[in-house]
Amino acid sequence: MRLCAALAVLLTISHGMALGEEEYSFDLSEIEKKPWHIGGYVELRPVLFGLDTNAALHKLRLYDHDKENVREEYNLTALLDGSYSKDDTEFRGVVNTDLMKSYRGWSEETTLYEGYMSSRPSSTFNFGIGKKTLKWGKGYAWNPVAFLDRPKDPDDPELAREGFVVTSADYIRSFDGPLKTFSFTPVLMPVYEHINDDFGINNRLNFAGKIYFLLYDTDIDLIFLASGSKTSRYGMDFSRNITSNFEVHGELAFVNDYQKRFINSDGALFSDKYDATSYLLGLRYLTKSETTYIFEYFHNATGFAESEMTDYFSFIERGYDTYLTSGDDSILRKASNAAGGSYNRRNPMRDYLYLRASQKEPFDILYFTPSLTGIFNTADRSFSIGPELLYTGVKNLELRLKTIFLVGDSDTEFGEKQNNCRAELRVRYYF
Amino acid sequence: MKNTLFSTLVVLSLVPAVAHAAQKDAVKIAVASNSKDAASSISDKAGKCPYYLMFDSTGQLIEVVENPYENAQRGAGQQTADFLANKGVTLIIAGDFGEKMIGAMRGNSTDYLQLQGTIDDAVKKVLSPGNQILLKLDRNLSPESYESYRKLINIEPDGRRKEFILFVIKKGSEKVGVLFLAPASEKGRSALRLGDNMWLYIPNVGKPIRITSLQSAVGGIFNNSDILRLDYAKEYNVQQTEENDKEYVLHLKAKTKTVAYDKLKMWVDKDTILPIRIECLTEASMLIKTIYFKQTKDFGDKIVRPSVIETDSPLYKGYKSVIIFAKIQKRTFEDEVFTLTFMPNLETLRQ
Repeated sequence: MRLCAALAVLLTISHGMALGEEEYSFDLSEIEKKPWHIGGYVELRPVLFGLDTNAALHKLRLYDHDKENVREEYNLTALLDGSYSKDDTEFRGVVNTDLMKSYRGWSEETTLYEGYMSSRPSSTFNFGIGKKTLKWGKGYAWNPVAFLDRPKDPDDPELAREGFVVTSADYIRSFDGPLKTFSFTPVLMPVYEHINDDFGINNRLNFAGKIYFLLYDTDIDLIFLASGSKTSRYGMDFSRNITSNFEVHGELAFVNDYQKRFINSDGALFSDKYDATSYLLGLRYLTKSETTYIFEYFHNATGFAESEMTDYFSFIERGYDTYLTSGDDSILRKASNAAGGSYNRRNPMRDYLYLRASQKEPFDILYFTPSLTGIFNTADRSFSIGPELLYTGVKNLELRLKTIFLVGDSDTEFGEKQNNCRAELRVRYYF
Repeated sequence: MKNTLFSTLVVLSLVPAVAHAAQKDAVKIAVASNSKDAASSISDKAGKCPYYLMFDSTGQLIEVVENPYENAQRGAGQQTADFLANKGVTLIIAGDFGEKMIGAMRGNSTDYLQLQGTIDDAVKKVLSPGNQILLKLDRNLSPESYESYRKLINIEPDGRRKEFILFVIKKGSEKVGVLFLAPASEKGRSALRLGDNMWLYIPNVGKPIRITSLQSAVGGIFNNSDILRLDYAKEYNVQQTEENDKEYVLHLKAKTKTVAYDKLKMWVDKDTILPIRIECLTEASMLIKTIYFKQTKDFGDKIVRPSVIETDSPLYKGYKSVIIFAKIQKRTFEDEVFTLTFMPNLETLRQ
């Protein structure tokens, strides 16, 4: 019977489908399953930076360079995603190569983002081993419960990221009634020399897990990371559709004995150990005019207070003055490495608002999506705002023009960043 | 009446007679029950429920029978199905059916419905002519559980096209999964629907994110609820039925606010009980889009349905979206396939 159906489809399709004035074709070779798959994208991304020569981070990073107001950078990226499947087993690899030309000259970096084997003996159970991104959490811009992930870039949260070497499994069950789905994902993560050694304390085998429920139409995850390379931490997240155009989500993360290291304006290093509770609340709302709003509030209890950041900026200023008068850059180098680089995090402070508004296909232009993204630091009232134009109308080609403006007084997060503004064109071709 | 009355609706096919008064007398409905009271809830145990309440085509309770296989050690479902067939039952309603009982009912040509709620309400719903047409139409469009391939084409006024190829799986009344096979920029994406819940998985982003029915994963006129469509009877009640020589015209009203279109006006071919055209309307009866069903063809295994649907919208003047169907075939899946955890692995289901 199946053969008859396929034959009937073939007969119809091989001649195209006459449909009034239109002709449509559906070649069944397009849906043939192959054991191999190789895909990915190549991307060209020229970037223009408007530098803020008075900003603390400009002085910190470019103190020994000529003062320029504008700087260019050219990036060429290739991401290769390949897989091979046989029976219930799949091998997958994702390799990313970045070629960059900046004021520092040419640089190249190739990274294995993912490389793992997974096996699926049944639809209720699977396991895998290798380098993998887990991507836990429901937040769009930030994920405080993503204990085993590298942090997102809030300016570009959908970028592919490098994973960690883990062994993981999924046990899944479905039910009728209020509890529709239950799954448990245990994870073992070794941290030894040359394996995940940037994650935390080496020579530890870390155990983590995620329990997922779809309960009363709400996604709920309970997440933990047992003490090992990092202190123990627990979290939960949720997500729920309120109406056909309105979704809410949130995350809550407890980090036991978090150790924050910070410096004062003289460069003296301090350490503070405390239990940190971070949380995120967010929503996604689609209006009748097809504007999508994503709004998130993030309280990062592991971040720096306003006074701590001000001290850090003051220390940089001191170091810069010393460099100008004596040529001694030791203070600047100390500032650069202060607190294990935690000042250099994308958003190192405590309280942020994220707002993204995107308009689907305005003026009847299909596949065209303009958007505006703002990240606001509620403590020091500095912010970044970024208009963006995205066009995906050409098959497998994605064009994105994005600018970001950073606004803030002195001694504020965005006011002291290296750049005033940034403009980039991203041309990405998928294959 | 709870919105969930039809929430687990599974129909193989309803007797065409129910749409025609002349044949209505042949209808005999048996509803699984834990008591003799028609105001009680439908029993979940089709094979081992204590009682079956029998109704005629007017909705009159005509008999309460004890299920002789309530305590059977083995084969209760199969024997109950045969017992009811011998009593002239044409339609069995229960909260859940076992696989063997389903097989036996198919063998006996007995139709069945998987429903929740009270027995009285279920019988009223089932006997409403409009709803019966809608139930029949759903089963004519697709089997209860199936897989299929679709090509989705967005066509711009200047003739430019963007095409997507999708692998679609469905189980029961509220589980749908979609895997994007092409173009390369979308390959590996998957979407899942469980009732009112929808998620989109994008490989680079890595985790499934919740989406809403009115958003669109493909751009153009189709939104997420069009791509992850459930049975019409799952989401809509028929409020009014009109008819002319060749067509029924059904006026449908969404059961909940989470349904993408508040109202549908559906033209149905009387002979085939297949849709000809559907207008999707807002609560204020503003036209959002019109869906045209064309090119009816035989997909095999008694699946005869339109192979092409076209959509246009006054909100997108000059634009058109088309879906071409291929390889629709019955297939059963484990429930666990329709979970967030499984979403990255839908490709493994392709044969």
